[in-house]
Amino acid sequence: MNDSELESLLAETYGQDFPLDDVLVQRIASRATTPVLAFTRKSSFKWLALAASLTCVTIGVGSGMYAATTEIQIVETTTQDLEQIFTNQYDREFL
Amino acid sequence: MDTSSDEEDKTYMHRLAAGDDSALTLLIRKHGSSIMRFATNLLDDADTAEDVVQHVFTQAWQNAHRWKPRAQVKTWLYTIAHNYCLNILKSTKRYIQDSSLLDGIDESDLAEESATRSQSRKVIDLAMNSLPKRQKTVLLLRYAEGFSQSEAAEIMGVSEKALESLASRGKSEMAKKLRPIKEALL
Repeated sequence: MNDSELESLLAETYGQDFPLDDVLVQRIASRATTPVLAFTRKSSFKWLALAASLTCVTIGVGSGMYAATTEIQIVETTTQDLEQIFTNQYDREFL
Repeated sequence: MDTSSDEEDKTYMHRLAAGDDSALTLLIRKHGSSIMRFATNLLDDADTAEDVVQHVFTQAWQNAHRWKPRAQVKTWLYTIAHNYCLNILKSTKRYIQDSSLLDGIDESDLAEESATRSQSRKVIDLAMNSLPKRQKTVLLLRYAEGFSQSEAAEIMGVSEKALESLASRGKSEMAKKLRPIKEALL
């Protein structure tokens, strides 16, 4: 393949028209002229989605740990109460 | 580049610098699609290419007052696009990964790829993605985007001699990779 054949092949393969529709043109223009909106590009949305997912996971794990801790406290309290009742009963019967 | 087209671009830039936002829409309509094509071909990712187009025109709008009339607008926009694409490639290491995957590619792989998939575009993409990124960029700027040697050198920030060397090595490598399937491609 000589140089001119290759150049034609590259032009044909990678030089084809790539039309932008009017909606996209307007969106790019409005985001560009509004700096805050310019930040909300597609990749930013991906980061926002990731941040939201991490927040949900953190809340979920936190809630689970809180529930588990509360349950342990209830079990400990109940065990202590039962021991106390048993001890009192024992004291009454044998003293 | 066409002189009247460049004059039109300069008018848009002056309007933009004066605060006329409608000139930005005109610039996007005129150059957005070719910048989208360049970024898509260079990054091999249409979604990220849209971000590149967004970045280019945001920069154009923010820096219109700094733009110097002696610079060609189209070349300036492509320089912004090229630099941003390089940042993306560096940050994601995508190109390096792609290159490393294809480093071992040889002529028989490409011939087999062509025979089994009958998709010459995929074969050309494989060969292009196996090139070092600067060689790929030169080939895209020169033959897909139609920039002259001096314009492409300005966009990439290299000397014309260096650009010529990159183009020559890129073409030689591509010709070598595509030799086994030349008949199917031409």
